[in-house]
Amino acid sequence: MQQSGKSDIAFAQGFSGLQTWVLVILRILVGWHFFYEGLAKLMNEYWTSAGYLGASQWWFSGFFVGLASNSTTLAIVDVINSWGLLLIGLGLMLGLFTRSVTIAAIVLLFLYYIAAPPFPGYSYSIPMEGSYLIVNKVLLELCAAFVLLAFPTGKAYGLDGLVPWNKTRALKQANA
Amino acid sequence: MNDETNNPGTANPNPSDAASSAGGSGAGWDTVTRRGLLKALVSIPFFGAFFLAYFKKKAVDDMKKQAILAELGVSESAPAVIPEMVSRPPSERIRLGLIGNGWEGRSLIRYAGFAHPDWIEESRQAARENPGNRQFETFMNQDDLNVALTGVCDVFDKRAEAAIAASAVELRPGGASQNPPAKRFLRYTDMYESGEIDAVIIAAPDHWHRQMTVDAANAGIHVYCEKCMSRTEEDANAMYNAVKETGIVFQLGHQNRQSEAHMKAQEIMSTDNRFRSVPGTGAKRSPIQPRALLPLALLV
Repeated sequence: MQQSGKSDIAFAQGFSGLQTWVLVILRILVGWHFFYEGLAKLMNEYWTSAGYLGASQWWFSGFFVGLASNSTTLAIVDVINSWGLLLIGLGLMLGLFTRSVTIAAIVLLFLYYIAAPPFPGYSYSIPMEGSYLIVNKVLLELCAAFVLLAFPTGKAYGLDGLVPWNKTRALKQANA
Repeated sequence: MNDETNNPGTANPNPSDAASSAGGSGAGWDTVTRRGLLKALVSIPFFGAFFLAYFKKKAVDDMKKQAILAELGVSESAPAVIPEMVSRPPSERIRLGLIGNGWEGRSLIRYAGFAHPDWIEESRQAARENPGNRQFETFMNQDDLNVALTGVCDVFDKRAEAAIAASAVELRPGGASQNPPAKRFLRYTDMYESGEIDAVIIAAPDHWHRQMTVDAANAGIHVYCEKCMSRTEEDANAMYNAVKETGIVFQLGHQNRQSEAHMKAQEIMSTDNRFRSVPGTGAKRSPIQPRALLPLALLV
């Protein structure tokens, strides 16, 4: 990084080179996953969230099953979910609107988790590829998203560093 | 001097200052350094890798799918996951009536989620004695269909009481809740007029099917009618007309024929020579049993 690194947001926050790169890679990988999940759903004309929502358990199952049982709400949920995943993934990979898309990712992952939590006593008809007790990969990705929120890299290594409104805000802060 | 690498002096002295960004140093707002630009576009190679892998995967998947479809000679169609099959809220619960709690009647209400307490006890016991007996497990894994059995009509007291006991059974599959006991009716017409039921399961003897279906249609009550539909063509036509004229939902006990697997099997059989009957031999049955195709059809 040498001298120039000192002007990085990430560096300015006190991240070492390794720390910065690990965070950027994490952001891009989580983004990749979201982007492909969204793309795969949009490319499959038969995809629907009905199965996942309908199999919901725990306190909020009434809410999720209710969403799936009405064809209008289901269609809305399907569109929001697939496009949401795609745009969140794009944002995380590019480092564009990083903070907003990270928060959106947290909201989506939280909903996925509480819709079908792997709590003791619950079994799901869709087999999982691993064994989970309370902690599953959704929860881990949710935690990863919180890491990205706490340690942002979009301005240092992403398009957020190029867009004019960030610069204007930064200028104001600098002049304050 | 906009290039920050050549000008350490313009690097921001305050490390927490958000003024620095990938696009430029603190020195100039309208400039984008080459290094900053490269850093901002760090994800471009990842997009390259993504789309390379994506199109490769898509090509392979499409080829596989086309190969299976071509092999079986079937068209592509939507999977049988119908959103409407997901349980609806309690406000949309369907109230069922049952006519005839005989052999078929008690199976049908069990498939609707109402098993007699004795049956539950027996199948539980059977599962304990023989773990291979999955009758009880299968029952408990049934979906909550969001229905209530609210009316029962049977001329035999014993059978009517058994159906009422099943209607209020505590243990329901799919996490369904317990319901109040069904009302008993001695005449099915009384049950139709009671306003207590939305749909009826007709499991009475075959010669009753026509009259009971036509009456139900006229009362605006939807019908599940056990097979056989009727004894004569005339009866069947009368039932058909009543259903069409009133617009009720009618299901004959041949619903398996509408399952995705059966439809696909039928499609395969209609296009594949191996499933045609052999001319001149009088063989009615094709050389391959249609049932053997079901697992195949599920792959599509």
